[in-house]
Amino acid sequence: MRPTGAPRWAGALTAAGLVLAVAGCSPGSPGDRAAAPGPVPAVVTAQVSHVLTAVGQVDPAALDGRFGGAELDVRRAAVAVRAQVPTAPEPAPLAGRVLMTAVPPTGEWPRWFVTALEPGGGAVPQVVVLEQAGPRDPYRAVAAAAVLPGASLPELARDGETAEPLAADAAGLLATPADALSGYADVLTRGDEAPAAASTVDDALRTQVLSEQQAERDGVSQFVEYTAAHAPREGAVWSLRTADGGALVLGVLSGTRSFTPRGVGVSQTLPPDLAALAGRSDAPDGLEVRTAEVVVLHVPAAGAAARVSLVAGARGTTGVEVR
Amino acid sequence: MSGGDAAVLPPVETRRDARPARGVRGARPRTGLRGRWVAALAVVLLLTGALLATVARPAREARATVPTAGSAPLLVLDASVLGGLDGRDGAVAVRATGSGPVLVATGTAADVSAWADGAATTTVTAADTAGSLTASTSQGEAQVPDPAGSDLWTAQATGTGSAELTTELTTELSTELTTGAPLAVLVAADGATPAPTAVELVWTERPVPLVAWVLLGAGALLGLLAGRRPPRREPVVVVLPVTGPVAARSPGPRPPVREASADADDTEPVLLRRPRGSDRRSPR
Repeated sequence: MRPTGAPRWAGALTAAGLVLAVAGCSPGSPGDRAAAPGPVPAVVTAQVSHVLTAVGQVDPAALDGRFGGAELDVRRAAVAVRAQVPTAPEPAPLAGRVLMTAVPPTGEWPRWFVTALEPGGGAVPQVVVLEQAGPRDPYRAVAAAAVLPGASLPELARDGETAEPLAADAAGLLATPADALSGYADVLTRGDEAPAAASTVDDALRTQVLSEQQAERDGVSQFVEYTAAHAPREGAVWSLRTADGGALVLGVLSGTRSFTPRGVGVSQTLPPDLAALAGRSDAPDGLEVRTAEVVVLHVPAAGAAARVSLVAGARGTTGVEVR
Repeated sequence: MSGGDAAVLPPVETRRDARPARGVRGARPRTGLRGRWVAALAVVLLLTGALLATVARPAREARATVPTAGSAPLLVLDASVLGGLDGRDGAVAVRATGSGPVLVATGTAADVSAWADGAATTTVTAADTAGSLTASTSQGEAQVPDPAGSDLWTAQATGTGSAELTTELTTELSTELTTGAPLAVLVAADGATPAPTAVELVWTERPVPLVAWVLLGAGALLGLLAGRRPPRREPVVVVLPVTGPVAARSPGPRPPVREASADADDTEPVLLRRPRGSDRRSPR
């Protein structure tokens, strides 16, 4: 029998492979960590789950534990109304299947991240901003908006596990995030007369707010001076770069509708929900109704053919002030 | 059985040339059998060594006790502590024992530091790579809010009297896509009372045992020996004439008659093997 070289080479190769395999298994070898480096997110998945669970199970008696900003104002008002008006709708918990989470890189406080939740049961998905004021503070839901019918959230630019936050004055967009927000507030205030109206796609929230204001003005203008104004709420703008080079701008607008009698003897009776908030049912010297509008705008990149469009929005009463 | 070898052979009887030559068995196969045994032994040694170095690697428990110091409400094991265990296999358990509520939490070193900022804190650092720990206490708030449940913690364990948090032994906040944030551990009671001072790190070491390296080395050595190709031997076909001794026809070296005689008969040609080149001494 003539000896062949193949089995010997196979044996030698096996031996070499075994030695290499063992060497590869030894601790501390460079192959232990295969993860690609990327920015460290402000929160990892386990923390997001912890936060969202806490937000979804918040104690109604301690709303400020997990709600803040406009969301806390709206929920507190809703609780106050419901205490007086049992038929008033109960604020829905912010819970559901997580459709999307966008976490900026870790950094100084306040920190924030955005998530989209699908409550289930046919309810509309909610876009939620959660903010942490300081290291010892919890993340609180500070803004929530419902995705508009037919709209979808634009895809976000990602770097590893993080999303790219943009400053309120970030350039390279059709409008800076701050300008886009104030422009939309102006559209809600003045309608088509607003300069930003032409560069903003019409949407359901805008139609509802403008028609409601028009109806109120028409109803009371004979005896009451009526004004309605919207302006960005201080410190409530969060922006993320989208994959198309634009931005997803989340912000809160403060709305104020003012009713001032034109003369003596004009009495205004408040509807039950506003009376519950005002603590009285009449307003002889006028009143102001305050609202919060949460808007989620897609702002295209500069030079793009598209216009600013609202992808999610919500509106809630935050308070009534009787003069 | 090259033609060159045959050319220098003595004349052969043509009548027998057409008959197939028969091989002489025994000489070469004895060497191959030994080689196979050596190769098999090498594989066994390598496999045993590989098993001991991988799945069958023996485990041993290692401990480090955190030195007690001060009455600060927070105790922080900084990134150097878990970093000092880097490269060791498996998970590490941080056990804290106190008299009331006990919290053990992990977070990025920056986040733990941010939470503890301003508070009196006992910070434990690794003094050297041998696992010895040192502690120092900073001045600050003697009472802080309860750190349990903070959103900054990537993991936490709470208990009454004691708490134990087992975490993957890694120095960094590491997820599928991200690395780079060193981890620290926070130990506290409820923020209002001093942090537990009985804190212990327990981890499992699974070093590759020496015997595994010895087996692998021996196996590799034997594998190399078994893989060595012996001097090549070309079979030389010699067809012996029916009559007369081979030596009478050839002045070359005497043919290995002893091997050939095993199954030779005087009337049959036989195949003989000779080392390559042994026939080169025949006169030209």
